[in-house]
Amino acid sequence: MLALRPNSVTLDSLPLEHVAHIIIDRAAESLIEEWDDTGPHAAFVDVAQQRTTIKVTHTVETGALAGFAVPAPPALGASVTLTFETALAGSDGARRRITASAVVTAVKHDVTASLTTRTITLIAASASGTSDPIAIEEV
Amino acid sequence: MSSYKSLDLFGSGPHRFIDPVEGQQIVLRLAIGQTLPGSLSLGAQEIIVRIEGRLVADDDEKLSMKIDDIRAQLDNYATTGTLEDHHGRQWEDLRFARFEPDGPRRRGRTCSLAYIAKFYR
Repeated sequence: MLALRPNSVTLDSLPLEHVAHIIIDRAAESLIEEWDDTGPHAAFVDVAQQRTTIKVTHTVETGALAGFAVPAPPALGASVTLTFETALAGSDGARRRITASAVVTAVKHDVTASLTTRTITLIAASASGTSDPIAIEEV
Repeated sequence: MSSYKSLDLFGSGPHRFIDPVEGQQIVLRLAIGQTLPGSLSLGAQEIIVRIEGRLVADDDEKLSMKIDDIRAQLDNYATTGTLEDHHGRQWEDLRFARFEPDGPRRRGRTCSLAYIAKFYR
């Protein structure tokens, strides 16, 4: 999932400004592949464990880096709730609110002459283990 | 389809047959109390056919039912049966002796369990 310029982005109710994009990737963390005696191709494939990684990238005012105007990024290991709204092609139609419970695993900055961005990486966690940690609802 | 005593015990998921070791059962003389060099034969190697595979079910309960079916055959160890692989190859007079889970149940799209099953003659 890719959300370009999402609106109303919050981390634990704290607004996050100037978010350029949010990427939600899913990948198999534990893959089951089995073959049988009938031929060379896998006869059974399943994903027994999966990882949902969220990357929130927002621009940071250059002057604010040394100051305190920008809220400090969440601490590594912090369990937070990320929410944001997005719509197809930035339109007002079919708006969705996405909510995810996740744990912060990295905070990195990328500084160029004209732009400074901060990327917060989170891994989504499901309270039950079975439900999708990414909840999507119509706004 | 493979079978044991004409029952499809393992067909819910992929499984492979491992051929038995052939020949003589060899032991070191030292292992049976002889202080002599070398080994000797105790006779023909017993036939052990292994199946390595994965039971697959929609959920935990259905997987447990498949294991119950297998346990019922393990309880019938006293009686022998014919084991047949996917290609019609048969081993006769085998006893179903062991069913060994090979790791935890895995829960994804399905609920599954890797295993090793052993048949002896």
